Order: sequence, then structure tokens, then C-alpha cells
Amino acid sequence: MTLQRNSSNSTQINVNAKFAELKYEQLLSEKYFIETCFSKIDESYDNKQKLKDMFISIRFNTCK
Amino acid sequence: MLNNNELSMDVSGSCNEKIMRIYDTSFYCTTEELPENYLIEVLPVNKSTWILFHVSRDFSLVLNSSNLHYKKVTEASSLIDLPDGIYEFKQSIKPNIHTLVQFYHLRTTSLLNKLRHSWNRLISGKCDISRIDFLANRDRLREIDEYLLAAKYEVEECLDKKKGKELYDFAKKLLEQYTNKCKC
Repeated sequence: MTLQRNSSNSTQINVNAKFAELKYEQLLSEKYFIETCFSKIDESYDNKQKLKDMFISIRFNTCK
Repeated sequence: MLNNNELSMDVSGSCNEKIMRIYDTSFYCTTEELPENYLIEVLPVNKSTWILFHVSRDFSLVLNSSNLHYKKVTEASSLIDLPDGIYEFKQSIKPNIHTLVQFYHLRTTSLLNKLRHSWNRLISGKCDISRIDFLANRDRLREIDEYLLAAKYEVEECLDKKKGKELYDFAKKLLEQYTNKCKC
């Protein structure tokens, strides 16, 4: 039996997987610091900026 | 026969919480022979028994709370919502043991509908909030949408059910927080 991934395009799978992994890292860094309306402790936004760029790439399917 | 076929299926992205439509996206190496003993098995959320469906090539199968054995009903109006969570699928044709493939699907329809409702409410101007609060709320909802999308990728493409569930639960928590505390 083969466990299949749902997308057939390997480039798209890689981008989607990277996006998911970065988002999971963000979850780990944020989950203990959430206060009212997501106010955050001082943090770097590097990963967040990367995620925004990747998100647009995924939505418009233009990643190389 | 049919050894070079590539089996695959997909789940339709419907907003309807009562149904889930799955359909055939397989590649068949011949147009003449029909696959024999074409089976779809489904393991629904919170169930321990696989449910078997006999299908044919190019199938489109609508799943609901009745045929997934959540609650047997005879009228469509009595169907209950299908829960969000991880559904597992097995797809095979004769000789089934050699062609079996398995897929994960993370259903997010219910949470996505709630998120859509919050988004529409914000965008429609029904919330009596300042421009700064509007932008902050917009970013919060975008953030939740990203967590939901990441949850789907983690389950369906990275095949990591635990991380995917964690991302989904986090998105759900953020949306509850938004609903309760963000004045809109």
C-alpha cells in the first residue's frame, strides 16, 4: 500500500510543505504568548515576512 | 491488465457542511478496459471502522452523515453536519492488494465557514470599529486562514497528522478568541 500526497506537482508540494513547517514553527513560538486579541511579546518578524511572501506564491501558483 | 494505471482522487472544496464530494482524478493507461472491483474505503473522523463503497471509473461520490454511519436517515433534510477532522481514504482496483493507495484529507469546512462569516462581517462594515482596529482584525483573520491552510498541507502533503491537528486546533482557538474579544 502507498500513502499518497494529495498534490501531484512536486514543486508545489515542496512549497506547501515549507509553508506548513514555517507556520508550525510560528505556532510553537506564539502559542504560549497569546494574550487578548493576539497581542504579542516582542519578537522577530523574519519568519512572518517569509510566510507572507510564500503565501502569495502559493495562492497565485507562481513559485519556481 | 491496468498495472500502469495511477490511482488518485480529490475532495471537492464545498462550503456545504452536510456533504463531502470525492471524485476520481486517476490516470488510466487505456480507454477501453474498465477497472474491475474498484473500491473506495473511508475512515471517517472519530470512527474505527472503514466504510466500503463500490465505484466505477471517473466516479463522483457524495459522502454524508448517513452513508458514513454517523446517523442513518432516510431524508436529506435529516442529515447532520460532517465533523471537521482527518478522514482517511483507500482506493484500489483489481488486483486490489497490489494497487491500494491511501490518502489523508483534513476537513476544515466548519471552521472555514465560521472564518468566512467573520471576514464578511468585518469587510461589510457591520463592525463599528476604527480604521486601525479594522486593519488589525483583518490581519488576525488572515493569520487564522494561514494556520488553516498550513494544517491542510501538514496532513495532506507532509502526512503529519499530529502537527496538522495541532495547527487546526490553534486556528480554532484564535478564531474563538477573535470572536469573543475583538469587538466584531
